[in-house]
Amino acid sequence: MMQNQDLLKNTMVPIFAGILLSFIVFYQFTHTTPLAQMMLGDVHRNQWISHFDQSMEGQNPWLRNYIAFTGLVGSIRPEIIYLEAMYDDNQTPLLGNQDYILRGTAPNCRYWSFVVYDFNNRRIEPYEETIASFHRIKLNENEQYEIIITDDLKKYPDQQAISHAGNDFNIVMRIYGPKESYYKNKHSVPVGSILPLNYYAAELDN
Amino acid sequence: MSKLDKDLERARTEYRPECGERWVEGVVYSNPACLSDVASSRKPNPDFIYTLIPYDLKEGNLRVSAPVPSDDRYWSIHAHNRNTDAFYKITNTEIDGDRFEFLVTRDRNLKTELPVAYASSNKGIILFRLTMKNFSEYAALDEFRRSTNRKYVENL
Repeated sequence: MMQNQDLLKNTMVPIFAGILLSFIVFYQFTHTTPLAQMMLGDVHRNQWISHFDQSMEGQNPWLRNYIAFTGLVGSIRPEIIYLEAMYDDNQTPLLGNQDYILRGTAPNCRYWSFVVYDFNNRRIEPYEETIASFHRIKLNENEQYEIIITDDLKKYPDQQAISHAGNDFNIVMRIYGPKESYYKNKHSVPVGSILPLNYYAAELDN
Repeated sequence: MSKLDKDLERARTEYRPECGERWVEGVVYSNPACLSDVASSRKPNPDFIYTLIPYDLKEGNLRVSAPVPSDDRYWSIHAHNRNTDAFYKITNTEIDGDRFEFLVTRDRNLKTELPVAYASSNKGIILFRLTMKNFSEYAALDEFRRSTNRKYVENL
């Protein structure tokens, strides 16, 4: 009996602990998780993180591995900046049973877009409804965008909206041909605010 | 990159009518509608039409020629090594004319009039991004990009 307990304590427990630890570490580099965001993001702006120079020579192997699972060929300066968010402004995960409003100032660049992906970093179908692009989004008089993220575009026929199709999601902002000063002052990259629509309505009521 | 290799091989060998002719003489014309089940392209931008040229410089230096859009839409070329390092990039704002030709090589002593992208591994990939302002533009832009070609050259 004692021998069995010793065997369990000295052999099986360390093996299972090792497997569990390996899985926990590996998972961070294959999915967009809070730990992965904390470990890999080199620019944090509110709930947005960015990895400048993903594909530059000398980039660290952890980030390379993460990129290999979430995309493949990443960005380099001075051409592309990707920002990613998985929380709203209240640090709550972006949920498929909520509608959100995304607001912000358009970046100074050649092209920008927001695209919604599911939590496994897969495209959501129909993909044409998951993108808000500077080619099609109208800015208001303050040069700001206002985009609703919902499970059903028909709920907002007169507004600019994109679909998460009921999936918990993350959102990627792409900035192509950015103003060069964004690289000098990483915190000058304009990021959006994301709030649940019901939160916003409650604020208005107050 | 091995995921990408597998997906490129599928594009070369499997014809799917909904995806069109994806592999033409070493150039892969990906169709946005056919990217959702592609493991190597998990988070594509729906606005972009991606064209890829996988290469192996053991077969020679690679000469690439591609059409350049004349309007203000975003278009770019990025060349990546096997380890995904980007070693060359250019966009349409840096190019005069409606075509761009360049050479991918590892030979730093090579003399040529063409712009040169110096790779540090034999294998790699060239990625073109072409923006659709509206999804209805796909057919016209797909035809536009299909004059892209690549050729291995021993001597220039």
